Amino acid sequence: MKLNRTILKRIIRAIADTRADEIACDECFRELDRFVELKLTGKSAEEALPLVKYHLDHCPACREEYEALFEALKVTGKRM
Amino acid sequence: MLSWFKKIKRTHYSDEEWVKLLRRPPDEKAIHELREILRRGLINALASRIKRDREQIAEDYVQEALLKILDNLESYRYEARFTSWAMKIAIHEALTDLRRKHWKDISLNNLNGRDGSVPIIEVYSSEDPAPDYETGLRLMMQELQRIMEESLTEKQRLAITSVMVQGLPADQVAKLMGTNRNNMYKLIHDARMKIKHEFEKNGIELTDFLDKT
Repeated sequence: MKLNRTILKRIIRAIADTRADEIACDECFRELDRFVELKLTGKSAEEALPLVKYHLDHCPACREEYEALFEALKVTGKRM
Repeated sequence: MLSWFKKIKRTHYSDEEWVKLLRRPPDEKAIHELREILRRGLINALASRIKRDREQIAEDYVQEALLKILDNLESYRYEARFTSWAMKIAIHEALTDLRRKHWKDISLNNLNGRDGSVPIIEVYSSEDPAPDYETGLRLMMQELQRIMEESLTEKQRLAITSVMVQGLPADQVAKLMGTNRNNMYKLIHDARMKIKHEFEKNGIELTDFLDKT
């Protein structure tokens, strides 16, 4: 298996950014609805839930779910 | 976006009412209204992912999500709106299934080397013209490879190479390895911590490497 420069840098970046207090996917999922609501109301979700923000920046699957939930709540909020 | 909160506050039921109405046997009108909310949300959320038959596909996911929501009502913690919580479950169900279908052909053979072992990583550097850079890159790669071989478990190596190197989705790799996405994240996190610690112990500054390249 061969690595190119881009992948190597991405891996080194992920290792360099590693923190002892990271949360895993289940905990991120528990807070995800609150995080999206904070974003939609213009409040600083990153400040309120920094570990969720960190997790979303480093977990592609949770990031994808965050983005989809944001899109979903944006539209369901409009007609209520 | 402030208007979003005002609008959502005008929902038909309070969060407490939603939970009360959906407890078994659920109120049919509440089920119908929740289904409609989830359907609208999913159709919008899936717009960039599904081009054909999106409404029908969203409808199917809503049906599955409703069962999950009703089964898990007691785990709702009233920290976000009930409809946000329910939508979160619907999104999770839909995207997990879409990822599973998209990556259905990967197997443990994709993860392991041909002899069944965890693959060795080599650096590919033919496009890098500067000799100094080339040397730095190769040394970094060699050190990473050494740490992975000496300090990580086989499971950690397999997880790192599959998810971080090959870019395979964590939930699918987890399933193949007999675990789940949450445990896969923890496995990779422990591995990253070990690698970082080893680099630090050897006096190698990762941020320096990143700044210079």
